[in-house]
Amino acid sequence: MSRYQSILSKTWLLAVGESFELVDPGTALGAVPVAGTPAFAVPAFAAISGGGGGAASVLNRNRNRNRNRNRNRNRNRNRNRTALRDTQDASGFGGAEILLPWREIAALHALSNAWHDLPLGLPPAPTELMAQSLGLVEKRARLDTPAETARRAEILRELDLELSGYLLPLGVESDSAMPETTALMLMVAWLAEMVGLRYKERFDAPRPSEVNPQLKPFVTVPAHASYPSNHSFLSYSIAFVMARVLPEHPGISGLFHSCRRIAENREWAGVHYPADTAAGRRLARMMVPVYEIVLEEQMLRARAEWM
Amino acid sequence: MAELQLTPSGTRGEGRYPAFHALWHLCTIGVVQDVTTFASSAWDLAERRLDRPGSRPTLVAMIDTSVAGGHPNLKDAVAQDLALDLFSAELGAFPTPAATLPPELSGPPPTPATAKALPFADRLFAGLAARYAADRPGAPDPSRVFPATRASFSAHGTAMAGLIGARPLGADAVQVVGPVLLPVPGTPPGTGPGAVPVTPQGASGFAYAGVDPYCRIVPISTNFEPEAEQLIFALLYAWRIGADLIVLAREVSSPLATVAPVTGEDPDLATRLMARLGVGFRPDELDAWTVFEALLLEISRKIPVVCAAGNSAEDHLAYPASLARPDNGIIAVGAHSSTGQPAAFTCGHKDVSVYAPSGDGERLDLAMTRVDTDSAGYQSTDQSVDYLAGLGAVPLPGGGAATAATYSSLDIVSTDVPGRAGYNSSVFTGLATSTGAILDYRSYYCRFSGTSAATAITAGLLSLAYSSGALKPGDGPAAKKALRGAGATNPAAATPKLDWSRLPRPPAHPPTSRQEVDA
Repeated sequence: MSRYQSILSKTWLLAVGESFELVDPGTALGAVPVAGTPAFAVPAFAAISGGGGGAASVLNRNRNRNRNRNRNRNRNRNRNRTALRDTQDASGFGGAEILLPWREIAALHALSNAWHDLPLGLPPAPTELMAQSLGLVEKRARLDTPAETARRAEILRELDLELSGYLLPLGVESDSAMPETTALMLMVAWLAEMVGLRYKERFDAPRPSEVNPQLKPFVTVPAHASYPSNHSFLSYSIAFVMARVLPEHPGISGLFHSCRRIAENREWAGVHYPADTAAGRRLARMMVPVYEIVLEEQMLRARAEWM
Repeated sequence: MAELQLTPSGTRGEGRYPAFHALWHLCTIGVVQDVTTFASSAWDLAERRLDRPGSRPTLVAMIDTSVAGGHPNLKDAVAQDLALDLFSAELGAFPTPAATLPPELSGPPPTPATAKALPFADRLFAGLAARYAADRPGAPDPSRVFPATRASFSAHGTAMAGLIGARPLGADAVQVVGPVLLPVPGTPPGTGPGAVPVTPQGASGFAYAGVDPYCRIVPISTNFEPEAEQLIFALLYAWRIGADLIVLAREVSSPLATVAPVTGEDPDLATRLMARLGVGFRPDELDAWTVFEALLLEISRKIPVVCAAGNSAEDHLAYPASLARPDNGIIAVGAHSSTGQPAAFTCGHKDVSVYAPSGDGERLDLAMTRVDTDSAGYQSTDQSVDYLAGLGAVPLPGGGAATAATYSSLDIVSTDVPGRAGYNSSVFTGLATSTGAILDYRSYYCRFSGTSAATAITAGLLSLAYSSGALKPGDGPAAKKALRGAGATNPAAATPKLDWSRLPRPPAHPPTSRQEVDA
């Protein structure tokens, strides 16, 4: 007789409606079922149920019938907390705003010892920067061709923070459809912007067009340093945070590809080296342990939207 | 006056589901005889073997999310000292390193299964002991990359680990309390409902068990970026610690997933893949994916790799379950519901190695009509002809037969992240009282489904086969063949269901240790 046999036979864990009950088999049910019967009819425990309290809704797309109910519940509970304001255009994206996430910013700086000296690696030396800029000149020339019409539009759309590249891969078709998820992405953007600027200032790497005057950027060159790319850092920060929030979502891989394209588009525009893009990704990955503490509340709210 | 009703009684589901035992799947796969006595010859054998001097628990490497290792049912099941997180740090971070280097990480590392992985192995293994030491609390390393293993975001790994190896805890090992009641205002102190904890109904104790409650589970967490390097490191680490089996329930988004297994050089492959992804895919990335696949196939010949077949109800296997062939140890796991039929969502490809219990799903399409008639959202007047044509008999406890249209409301139940996080959220933020008693034990469990759940159950059974001595570790194809049973040698035959009785009988006097088994 195994050491676990007596424990399990004395107490039953029953799935009851959306929850669970530990019961004494001898008293709670009034009768002990026939040995060997794996299923139970327990009218005393009949309750409203259906997929809640479990992973079925995310892991199995056929079992998401409670999604709308849960979404509404969380939206009401948190309306004042995140105060998502949406003035979206006809595309469904582009107008989402949140109040300054001061709690999260304060927490970020309280944890600065965990992120101000991450082993990002040094930027390339000038000779290597010049070598990488040659590839950018070629991309910049190709950008003007008809084959890259879509990319040109993307680059212009991505000049400012616009969430379609992050929400669409997850199947969300407007800023307002998943307000807590949208608010989380905006919070990540706030934090990443600050962290990225700190790293940029430390390395003070020149922009590609400063190193190679032959390069004519497609967009205005930002006034801050090149390494690491904040577009890359911000995008990958969103992707890594969402991979922590919803690892079960089948769209996570697509989200990473989309974020990568947003980051690489800045190379095509002539404002970042590939080294900047790679550094932004590395920094985002290393920042996740900080994000999951600082943003825990909002990450849980975002996850609840999908349960 | 007649009452106006939106939906007349009898035309819709009532939303009243029967309760069910959380461990029904242990009966289905034959590990326990019933849920009254919980008699289990497999557990008896494993326990006797483990209690003998020199024995070593089966080591399960689980490549998944992080795990809430503090869960009462999991704290003795999870090998915290060996857990490795590859989410944030390139070469991994140790979330909970021990004071001394575990024996699994001591000594020279083994040569990787394939020479292609050598450069990756050199990077991962060089300085591993020093990195382990540097990750101990208080170690002076200002540039440390912390692990991303917060329990709040560990739901999937926690559910997987529970199904594989959760330990039941008796009433003496865990204290469960109810909420404190405030006195009714205006009543004298000591009268009425006062400051006395409400005692939960029923028995206490955390009566939940994984399939093999004798194994050790090593969480190897990754970040789900479609990038091969971290998965190569995860496999190499499992190889390094001497894992007996590997669990990989996630679908891996490799560009090789859409092409045949690597059989030779294709100079145009990288170009075609670059165009498809729309990003600057580099040749070295493709090389890394090639190494991952080669390493996975080679490792699986020694260490079986249990993979999820996929939840999309389509006739193609998720990658890397799609690599399953008779000559390797990749085990593609599909899901069947409590009725014994393939779950509505499961992949039904002929190369599914084995079906294991899971929850069910609803479908109403040309291939399948399976609707949850108990759901409050169900209305019998909708699509009634199509549905009723395939309905047949509905199984009820104690009688009735299932048809392809029969929906099962039994999900798999597993361990969950306690509190607000996880799949089953608590209404309380803090769950443990000042004395360590647990408030709201309900949030420690969740419903779980998909081929992930079936994969975890299969991994648990395979682990139990090793723990009990029914199977010898070290041969992936043999493990797969044993799970499928002697009658499943014909690939065209129906894929078998997971069942302990298919496995060979353990020897009457099981060996005392893995070394003895190997000898």
